[in-house]
Amino acid sequence: MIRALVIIATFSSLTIPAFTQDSISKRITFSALKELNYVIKNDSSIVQITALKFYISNICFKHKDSSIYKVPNSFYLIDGLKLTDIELKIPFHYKESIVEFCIGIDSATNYEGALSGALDPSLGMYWTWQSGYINIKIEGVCSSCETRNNEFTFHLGGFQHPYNSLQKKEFKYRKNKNTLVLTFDINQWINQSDSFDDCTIMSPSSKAQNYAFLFSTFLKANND
Amino acid sequence: MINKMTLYTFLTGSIIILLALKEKVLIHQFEPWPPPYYSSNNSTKDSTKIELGKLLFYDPLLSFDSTISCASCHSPYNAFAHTDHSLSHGIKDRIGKRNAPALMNLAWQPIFMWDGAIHHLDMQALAPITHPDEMGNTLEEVLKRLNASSFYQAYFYQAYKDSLITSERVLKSLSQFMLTLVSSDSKYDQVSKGVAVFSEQEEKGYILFKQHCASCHTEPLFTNHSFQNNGLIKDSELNDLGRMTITLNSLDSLKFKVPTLRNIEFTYPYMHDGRFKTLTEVLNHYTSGISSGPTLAKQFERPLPLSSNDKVDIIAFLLTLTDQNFLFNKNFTFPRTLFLNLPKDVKK
Repeated sequence: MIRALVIIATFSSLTIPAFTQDSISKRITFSALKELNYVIKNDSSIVQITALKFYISNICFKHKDSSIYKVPNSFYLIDGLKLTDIELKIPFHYKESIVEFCIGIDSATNYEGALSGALDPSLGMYWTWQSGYINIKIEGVCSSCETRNNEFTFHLGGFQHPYNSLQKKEFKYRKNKNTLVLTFDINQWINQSDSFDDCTIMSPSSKAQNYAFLFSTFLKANND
Repeated sequence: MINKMTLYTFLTGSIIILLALKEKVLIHQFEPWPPPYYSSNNSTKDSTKIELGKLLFYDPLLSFDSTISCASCHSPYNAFAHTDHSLSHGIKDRIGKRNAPALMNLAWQPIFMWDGAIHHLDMQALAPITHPDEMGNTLEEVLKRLNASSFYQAYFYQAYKDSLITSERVLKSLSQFMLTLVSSDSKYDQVSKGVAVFSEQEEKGYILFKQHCASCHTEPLFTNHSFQNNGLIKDSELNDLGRMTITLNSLDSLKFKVPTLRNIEFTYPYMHDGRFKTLTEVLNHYTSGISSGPTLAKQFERPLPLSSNDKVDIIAFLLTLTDQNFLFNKNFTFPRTLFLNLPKDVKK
């Protein structure tokens, strides 16, 4: 009898998951850009990315029963040139769920005054001459840009109507997987027909909105 | 059946009205102050933060070459406005495009700058700190200098129980000080509280003011914080389109934020580019200088019908907005003692 109990106890301890039944760890990994140099196929322009930064915020998990778990204080500044791992502890109920987040900082947060952490205005993602966060920052060189040193500068922001450039994305975790790996497909983005019609965008506008939207469509989940 | 209370109220009310009519005193309805607009997370007001904000406000260390402080353009002797200069200037004598506005009653202000570029008091300081014609610096450099100063480390420790100086702490401390700049004790305010009376001329001016000016310069803040085109001819050199610079909306072309008229006696020159030196020039503009255009405020479709006497009366009323308690308040001036000493409970 005792031996049976011991066997059962040992077996159970080997199969009980490493987390408690109350919460589960979900990860979102933003891959580093593997390549900084690209070629635009239709005109052979050469593009080099020198900076890529963007905000991820308001992460929430949506269950198929329509319940939603909002991760509190989820503001992250991602450096696209480096690997970033975000690990979140969420209620177990949301084990199989869709994750939704914003690319950028929402309007309400923009109205909150001086903030800290990822939202610190000294991180180079806040406009000083006109209030507001820069949602996506992409800088580099494009041989077809007729700017000084062929530089292109996309500081995509704007949180007020009609130039709110906040974007929303959602991704499904693969079954039984708790990790989501995301990458920006820069190659596809630069090969859009009008990706470098403008080489400088540094204030809220419909152009900034369009670029932010376009850019967000190329954030993709890796299929591995 | 009329009950005793109603009868009593009716009789008292009638007596007051009859007495007032006898004295030919008009009973004005004064607007109460609206609730403050400013709110901030993690912002607990206290004297150590106000002190720190005051030090920062008066310290030219914040500018690139350490020559210009906030007080350089927001002078404590002139209701925190920039007088004697039509356009404000910054480091290396660079001249900007606008006249620095007066600072008062900022807690009630929802939007900042002549074109409304800034929407929260905490973030306002970033604009002049980084503008090349003003303080020409970066927030990162400001933080670097403050963190390298044992003087500021001590004051930040006193205020935040941590000597690490962050953007949030710098900006919130500045806000704390700026929020103390409240002007609500002018003769006008005393009249509104019933402890003073307008002179006959001031009274006439007040009535004219309510008729012709109060739709934008709304009491008791003397601004409704809206953006208006008040008929100023665009300066061809400055080419300042005002609000449209921010919204990109052509309907906002040549619109500028309505400033407060409180302490107007002390905040010359007037308008966003300081083009008028006297209040008489301002009123003359409204009677004979309006330049029409598609975004002109409706109030100016016809010039204001003011006689010379009317203008004098209005100016007499405007002088009642001067608040000596605000203008000469020692709590707002250069903190000489603070700059000379470390805080009392400094951690060594």
